[in-house]
Amino acid sequence: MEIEKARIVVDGLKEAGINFTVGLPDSQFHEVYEQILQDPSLKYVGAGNEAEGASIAMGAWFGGKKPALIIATSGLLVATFSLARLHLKEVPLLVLIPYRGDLGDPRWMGIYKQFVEPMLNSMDIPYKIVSRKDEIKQTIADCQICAEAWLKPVAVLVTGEALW
Amino acid sequence: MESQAVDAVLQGLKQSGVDFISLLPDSDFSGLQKKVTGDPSFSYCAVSNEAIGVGVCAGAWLSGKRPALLVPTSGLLVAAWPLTSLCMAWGLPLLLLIPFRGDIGDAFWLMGPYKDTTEPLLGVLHIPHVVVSKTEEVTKAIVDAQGSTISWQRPVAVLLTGETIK
Amino acid sequence: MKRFDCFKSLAAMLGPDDIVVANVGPISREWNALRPSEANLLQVNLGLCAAVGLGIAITLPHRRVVILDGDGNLLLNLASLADMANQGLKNVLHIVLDNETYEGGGGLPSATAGKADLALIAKGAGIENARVVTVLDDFAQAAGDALRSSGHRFIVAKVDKGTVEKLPTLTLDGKEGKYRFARYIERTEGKQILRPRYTHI
Repeated sequence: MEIEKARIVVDGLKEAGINFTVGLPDSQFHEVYEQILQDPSLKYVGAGNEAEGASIAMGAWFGGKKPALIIATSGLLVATFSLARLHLKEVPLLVLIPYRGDLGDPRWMGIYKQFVEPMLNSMDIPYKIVSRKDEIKQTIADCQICAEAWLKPVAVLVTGEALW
Repeated sequence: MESQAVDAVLQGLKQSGVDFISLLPDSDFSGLQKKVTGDPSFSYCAVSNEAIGVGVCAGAWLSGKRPALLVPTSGLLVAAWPLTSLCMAWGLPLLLLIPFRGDIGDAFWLMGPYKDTTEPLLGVLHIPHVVVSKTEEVTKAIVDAQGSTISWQRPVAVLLTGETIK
Repeated sequence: MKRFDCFKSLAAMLGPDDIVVANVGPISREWNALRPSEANLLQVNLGLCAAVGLGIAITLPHRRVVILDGDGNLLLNLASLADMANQGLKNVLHIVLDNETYEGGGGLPSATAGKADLALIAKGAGIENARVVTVLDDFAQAAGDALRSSGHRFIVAKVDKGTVEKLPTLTLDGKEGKYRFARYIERTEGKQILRPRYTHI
């Protein structure tokens, strides 16, 4: 990911009020993680497993933080059980995912195209896809506002020009 | 689960040639699990999470066993990752036996969300499934599901509900 | 210590019948370059290498199963270690190539870069024979010892980050890997795995 776009993502998180981040890295989002790590206002906690990550974020919210979970596309499948528990407890959580396997992804990740959006739908997690660089910030802000208003996880999928 | 239903499941597993069982201890299946672990016709591997169970069954099938995974309702969500990255990406058979908690008639509030997730998730993961609510239909459903999973080389699920898990 | 050098040393010690289950990413690519074999089950996805190896080791107790795992990979499903230990396996060599990094994920540190000690965790899970090696001679000795005896051995090999240049591309996808491995087991074990006749209806 270009450093300028990663900067926009990180600024978008901060402007949306996020002050706690949990993640497990994805290669295409490497620059985002690097910048978050250097920014104490986004308190980053690395998790070994995305399900654990979602639960850490839930704990942080109960402690008064505004958390975001930043995980790889594949990690959505590892986190499913935890995300279902979040739903039950009506916990808001911004889930930020680089949309690997979307049309235009040059690597062999096509299998994710089959399940990412259907999975979010079946988990009743609303989401917005952002493919243009100049729409990244607004998308993150919109999703965070609704996560807080609806008390549920809301996902941002970053793809196209915004990611590559 | 009543002993008649337990016997019907065991009969289905044996008739269909299942000889390897992985499971995570679960209250709905505890009677069944006790019988399975004491039965020499099954190799048996207890696991600490259902994702590991899918991996173990994948290894068992690749080396010559006919595996089945007994999955608690919630555990299907834990298993979503290997069901995709192993079973779907490689084309592996796996018989999934799942108690359908949260189905209509289940009064426990904690199970409610599984009505929303269980069947939709199976759909998302492209896993065909059959719902069985009568004990007399259990054996045949398992035999059918096992035949299909082996021939299609993709997972097939049997959801047990109603009188079968009472 | 370089991972590739560990693999060279290990490849020279393995017999043709030894089954190897390898993690997706550079571990599979490097291993395939050094020991191309139908007895390799390559590119097992994140968190599942140990579990798949466990299923094979239970099913084929008379065959040796070598698991080539990564640190981030094993951390995703740490409970695999406990489940393996409880099986009392006699035929498993589980090697973690620990570069303390999510290499495939861009290079951020994993928990082993901090305080986590996978060999201690393995011992706590019930795998008594677990050790850490940091130099190649020790790796060769630990792997050699393990291969000369039966049991369940666990070796954490602390390796440098990065892979070797000019590795041959691994063009095998998951489906082809499955067919290749299953046919190999059919041939060497006299079993039918793929498309058995099924006459229940």
